[in-house]
Amino acid sequence: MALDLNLLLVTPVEVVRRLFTLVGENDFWQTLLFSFSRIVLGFALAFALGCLLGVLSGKWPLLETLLWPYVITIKTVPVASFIILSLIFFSARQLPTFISFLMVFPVIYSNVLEGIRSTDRELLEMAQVFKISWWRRLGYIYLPHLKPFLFSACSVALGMSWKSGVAAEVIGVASGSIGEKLYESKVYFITEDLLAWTVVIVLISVLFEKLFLRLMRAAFRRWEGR
Amino acid sequence: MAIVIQNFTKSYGDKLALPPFSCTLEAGEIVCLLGQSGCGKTTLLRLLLGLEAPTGGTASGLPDRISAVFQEDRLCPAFSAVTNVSLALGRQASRAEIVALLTELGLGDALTKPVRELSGGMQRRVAIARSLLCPADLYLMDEPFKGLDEDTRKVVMDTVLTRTRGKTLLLVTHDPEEAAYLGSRVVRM
Repeated sequence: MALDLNLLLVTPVEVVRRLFTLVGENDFWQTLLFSFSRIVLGFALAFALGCLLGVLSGKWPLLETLLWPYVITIKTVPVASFIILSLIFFSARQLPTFISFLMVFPVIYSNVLEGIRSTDRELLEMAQVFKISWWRRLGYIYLPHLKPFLFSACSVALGMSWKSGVAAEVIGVASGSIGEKLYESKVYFITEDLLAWTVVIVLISVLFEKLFLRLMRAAFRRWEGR
Repeated sequence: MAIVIQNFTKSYGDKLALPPFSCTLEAGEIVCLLGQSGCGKTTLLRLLLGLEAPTGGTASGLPDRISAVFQEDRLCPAFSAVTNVSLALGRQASRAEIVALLTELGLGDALTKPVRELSGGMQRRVAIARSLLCPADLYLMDEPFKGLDEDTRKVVMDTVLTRTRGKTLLLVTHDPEEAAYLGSRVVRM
């Protein structure tokens, strides 16, 4: 029996060739923009809320106690369960944003909280003696201390947002998304498409991570150079 | 108004960090605390700063405005000397005043460098400048001149004397010569 090996395994050359064909197609950039905008929105919301609630939980331990069940649930429940459950409440097109948010939030929140908690006690005592306002403590004592925690959290969370976001698109079959392309390539057994889109996801994820971390580094440099 | 410390004591469990200590600081007086390591000098300053509660005893007449030089420099390492000083002062001192004092203390070339790039002695002077510019009625200084070379130490001591004139200054030191130079009353612990 003859077997077309391209169905199971394709060569890297064929993947690259397919990638170039995809880039030239009309809906490639639209698909990319669709997924990028939704996943990045989810990441951005989780970053903002994770930082805010992490800082506030550091200040008010009661808030940490209230958020703890939520954070521990997200950390332990499989992402697929969340995706299927969320399909009841969200449309497939909204799902990547929500799932990306859900997966990123605990990472940012936990790291920010850990950073706030481990802030140099001696500097905080100095702030107490000189009656430095809480806002100034935040900017000059907490924020520089949070820097390594934020970089480490973002480095992990950015990759996580893409993995979970695309998984949500695949399971929800979000029309016009990268996840839909992956789903179609699985259904029609087009392995080269599957690998080409995977390469696209890896590239866009890595590029966005590099860009975001570079912007964050520049923002810190600007703030500390005051 | 005099500050009266009566039987101030601090212990952590069974460990006595500050044996009962009594002393009166007259307004505008310079007092040097001398004593061996571990006798409770730093603990006394921490109690006066309100960073810890005493196990026993009282301190009356403490002013609201207290400034300090800690045993450690306690500077924000990523920020410049000017930013570190202005952080503690808020809007109470202009940038020109800060620059003038830092320059007087020999830090004119290091005003905008992150303090982590400064030497230990330079960082010490930034911490001293921060304390001196902070309007206060009581200055508590824990070995403020450690790590400074002989010439710099004299300049810094003169600046401290000038800037704290008329205010109460309680200073911890191990060096009797330092206490003599400052013309202060010496209290042994």
